[in-house]
Amino acid sequence: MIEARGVSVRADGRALLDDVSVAVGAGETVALVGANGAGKSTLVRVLSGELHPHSGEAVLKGRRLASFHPRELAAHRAVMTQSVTVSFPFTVREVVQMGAGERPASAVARLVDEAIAAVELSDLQHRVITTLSGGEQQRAHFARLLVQTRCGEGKHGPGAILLDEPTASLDLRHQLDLLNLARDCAARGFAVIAVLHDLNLASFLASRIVMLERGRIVADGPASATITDALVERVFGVRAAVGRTPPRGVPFVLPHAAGTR
Amino acid sequence: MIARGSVTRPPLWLVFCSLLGLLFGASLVSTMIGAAGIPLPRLAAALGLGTAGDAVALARDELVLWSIRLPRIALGAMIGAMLAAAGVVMQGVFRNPLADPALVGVSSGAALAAALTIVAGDRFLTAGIVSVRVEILPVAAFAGALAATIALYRLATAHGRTSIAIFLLGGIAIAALVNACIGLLVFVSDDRQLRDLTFWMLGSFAGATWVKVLAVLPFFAGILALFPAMARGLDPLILGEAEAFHMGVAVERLKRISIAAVALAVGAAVSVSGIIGFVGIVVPHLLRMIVGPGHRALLPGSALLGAAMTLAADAIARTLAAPAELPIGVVTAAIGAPFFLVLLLRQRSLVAL
Repeated sequence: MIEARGVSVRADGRALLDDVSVAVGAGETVALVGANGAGKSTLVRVLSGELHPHSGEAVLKGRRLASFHPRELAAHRAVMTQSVTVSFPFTVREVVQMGAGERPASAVARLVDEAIAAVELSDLQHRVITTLSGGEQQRAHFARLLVQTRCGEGKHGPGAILLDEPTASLDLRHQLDLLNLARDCAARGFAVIAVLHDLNLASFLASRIVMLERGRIVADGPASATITDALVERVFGVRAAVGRTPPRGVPFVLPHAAGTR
Repeated sequence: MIARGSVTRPPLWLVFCSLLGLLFGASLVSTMIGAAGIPLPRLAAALGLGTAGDAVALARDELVLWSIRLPRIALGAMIGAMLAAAGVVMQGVFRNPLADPALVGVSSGAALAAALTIVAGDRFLTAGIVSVRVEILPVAAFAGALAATIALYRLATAHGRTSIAIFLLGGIAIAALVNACIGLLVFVSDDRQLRDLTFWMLGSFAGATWVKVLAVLPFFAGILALFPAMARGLDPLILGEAEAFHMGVAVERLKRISIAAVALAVGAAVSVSGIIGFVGIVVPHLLRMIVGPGHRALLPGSALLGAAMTLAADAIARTLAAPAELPIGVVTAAIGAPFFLVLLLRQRSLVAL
């Protein structure tokens, strides 16, 4: 579905991404993890079409990303960025509605209602978005993404969803809710890629975890194979933090057990 | 349940009917008052809609109406609409409610060209043919406006991307440079030139003719025609350039179109009427408080309100010191600024800065 082929990005002589290749298929959920500055957000920006790599290419549904018109691209992939500042007094509903692009408000009223209900903002939908808490704003932007994916899905079928730290300012329940909504999209055939810092959430969400270290992929596989003492120590510099839940050996990371390098 | 702090927007038909009513009222008042008043009963006759008792008065009314007042109203309405709409576009592109049309360097460029024409042109164009200067001034101002914007655009654009921050800061630098040059020209000018220049910088519709109306019309029609395309893209752009791109907006193209539209519209406005401040900031703000920040309503609404407010300001400029005229820039600022402050203080929470 969506793919990076030998992508390299440089800035000020430093390699942000160095020959990165990763492919995410329909129905897959992939978590991008790594230390700060490892290149996770840069990879998301390349896969969103926002950043053109210096070498290599990004491909969506078999077509080079650069060959899409922005409007066309918006129907095939949706993106949620780390933080959005809205500098004018739009209401929550008006922001969510923007996900529908040029469609008139009356035509997408139900979609917008559903998306707002899915993130539990129905009561706040007519409030000015900047008066909401950071987490509530983040949920509003996720609802906007849901509207955009629904509109694109109606026209071209499922596409790609890119989430850059979607749970950063959410409480525990809304973190789980949001990731479940993302998993629902994957179940409908979307390819979902999320940058996550919390390794436990990553293993909860993802069918695959891709670990980045200084612009290179160091591991790519299921949680059981990627969240290991050796890799966590190498990538994050944290020792002996990984435990396993008894029946199936699902890895978890508990800070109490950790030592630093 | 509706939460506290919810915002309700009035129905759009009500807003637009009120704005149209306002514009009609301002136009009607503008036709009637001025140095030579035309009361309502005589207005109908002068417009050819009734019979007049007094043939001499009718002839005079017709002359005043058709060759002075109507072109002035047409020009004032178009320019007010363009300035207000340009303000909306600039505030959207810069994602900043404080942006104003002058930011694209238009006013600076036009002012420098006008100062050059008034001061230097006076020296080098053969003395005695004053009319040459009158005709050259708008053309020079328009060329100066476009030259400044193109220079600024070049400065801010690298690798196909236009940096809005560089545009903003570059605009401030160019304005400072231009002010220095104008200061120099003021220094070498004589009293009459100084007076001409000062009045030009404060704006006026006093020289309105049908020729000027026709000259401005294509620019007015042009920015009007671009409203739908700009309105679509400007809403997502408020969330950020990356977010707008994610939602399907061709961001660089939108910025190019917007800057070009604003430069052409404001350049045309400034070249025929001088610099009229404050319409581009007050009108969009006022309307944003009523219809919200969505550009589909804000752009056409601001154009209507800008036209109505500019006509009202011009009517005041014509009557306060009659038979002399105040510069309209004085009126827009003197009335606009306090009004604006009151609104800001009353609706503090709605302005998300």
